[in-house]
Amino acid sequence: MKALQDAVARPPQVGGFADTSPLHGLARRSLGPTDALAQSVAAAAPTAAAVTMPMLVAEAAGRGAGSAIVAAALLVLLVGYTIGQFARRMGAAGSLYSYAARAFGGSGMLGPAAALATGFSLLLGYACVAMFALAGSALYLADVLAYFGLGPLPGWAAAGVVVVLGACCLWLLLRGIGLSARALLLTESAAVLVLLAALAVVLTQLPAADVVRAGPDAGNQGLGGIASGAVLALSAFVGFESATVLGVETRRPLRTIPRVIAWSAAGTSVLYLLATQLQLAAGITADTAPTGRAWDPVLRTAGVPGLIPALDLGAALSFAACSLACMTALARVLLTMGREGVVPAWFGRAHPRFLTPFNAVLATVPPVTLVPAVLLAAGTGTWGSMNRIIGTAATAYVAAYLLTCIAAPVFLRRIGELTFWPGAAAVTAALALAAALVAYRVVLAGQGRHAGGWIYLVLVGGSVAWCLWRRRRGAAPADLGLYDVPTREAVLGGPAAPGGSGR
Amino acid sequence: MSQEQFDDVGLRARQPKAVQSALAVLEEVARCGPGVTGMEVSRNLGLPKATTYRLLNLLVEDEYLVRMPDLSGFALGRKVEMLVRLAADARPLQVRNRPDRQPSTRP
Repeated sequence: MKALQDAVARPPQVGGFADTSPLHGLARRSLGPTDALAQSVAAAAPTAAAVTMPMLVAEAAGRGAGSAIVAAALLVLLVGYTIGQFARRMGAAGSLYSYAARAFGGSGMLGPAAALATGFSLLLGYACVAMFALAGSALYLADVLAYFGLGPLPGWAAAGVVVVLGACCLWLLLRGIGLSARALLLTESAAVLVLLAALAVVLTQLPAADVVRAGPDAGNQGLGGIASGAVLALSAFVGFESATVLGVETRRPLRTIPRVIAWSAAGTSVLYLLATQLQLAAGITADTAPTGRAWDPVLRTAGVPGLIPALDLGAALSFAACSLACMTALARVLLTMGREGVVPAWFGRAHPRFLTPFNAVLATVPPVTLVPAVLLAAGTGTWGSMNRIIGTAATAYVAAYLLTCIAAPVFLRRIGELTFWPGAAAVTAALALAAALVAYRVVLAGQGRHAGGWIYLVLVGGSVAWCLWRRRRGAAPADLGLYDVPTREAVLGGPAAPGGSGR
Repeated sequence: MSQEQFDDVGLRARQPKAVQSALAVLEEVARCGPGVTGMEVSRNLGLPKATTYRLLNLLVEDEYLVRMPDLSGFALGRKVEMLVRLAADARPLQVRNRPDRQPSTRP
């Protein structure tokens, strides 16, 4: 180890590092793997998805619902592996945006355009899911109350619930990441436990052979059906990448975050598969269950009707945690953009004592709360609007994943670390995502539901165009792709330790 | 060495050979100087690229190495001081236990 000993005895001069990280001001290295896992799982909202999604997939894919979910899960694992290529090399607060920006670079027009498209897609996706989740939480709470005979909740009361939830999220997000992470962990754990309990109980009541062979009577919908089902299932997974926004605040992020992403993807896959198979095995079809209440007949068949309000409560908790997680992510992506000058620097400021993205949170949580509150208070057309919001969100997320998967081999090539399997995985994932995105929009357009796609194109396209125009005529363009660069202190040859040499 | 110091070292390799390779990678980065790329390390050591990149990433995860700000090169992390110090502390113990030597003062 001679060269190593020499290097320690006479440290080389290393340039390029600064005393502070560009992402200073956040609660650096304060969270553990459990908190990061809670963030990713909460944003994916498995309990809420398991309650709402299986019936939709079965409708599209028929007997092949299980295959559709497996296909979606495989794609998600590929995407997770690709995202991991970035996450194990750089800790960032801007999630996929920072990664894409590092890959595509800040010079020219095409590079920044692709990077900004990823960033604005993420912002839109996180914002829309947060809105949807707040409304979902209020609605499932209303169902719990309705079960106990406390009448249908009037629109203004549901809006009130949303405002209260939003206010709690606001306070938690401002006060500190430790606090909000803990709240997230508790809420999401409760939601997942409820789901596991329900699944376990139902599993014991149904013959195992039925569960494995399950498929609805409506007959085989063919490969096209499985593809549509897979796309619907994919939208249940989105959010699993959001631990990447905690790249600054997690301890050992380069080790922890890739693992957390993989575990979130794998864990939620198993939950969804089990939930879908159980629903199918219980013989529930789209005709016998009203939308969103597909689990009622299953739980009744299994002899535990008392679990119906419990599962509703679990879904409400899951949605609440989801909205908090999405708001956490939204604020950090915005903070990153603020520090880069993509959006005004005001968004990039962190609170000196709470170490949170204070301004970004203040700018995003109130509007994200008000939209669903107003929709619920207005009463009419709530589900239509909510569908449009979630449709926009799914499009935005898939677009962000697609751009990230294209960015991965570009990034690896740029830093000289491109090898076969990561490249192949990224290309495969990108192709599958592109196909999924096209299929999704085509199917929706066929049903006359193109609003989501147009909203996405206008909002994201418009933002990207505006930013590019500003960069062209404005001040010197800042380098995109801000991440948590190691400080001089972490490098051998940085500032001398206070004790001097001779230990 | 105390258990805490062992845990702190962190190199969680599943095979003894991997630990040897990781140390060889560290030594190579020390020899080449800051900014050496993964490809150079792989070529100099004669290891496959994928293996080298994996080891480099492991060492960066545990902060024995840091990536240069442009992410395409590596430099030694401050933590190697601890590694070298642990190795240095271990040596006097071996010297004292050899039966044919007089117990000597620490160097």
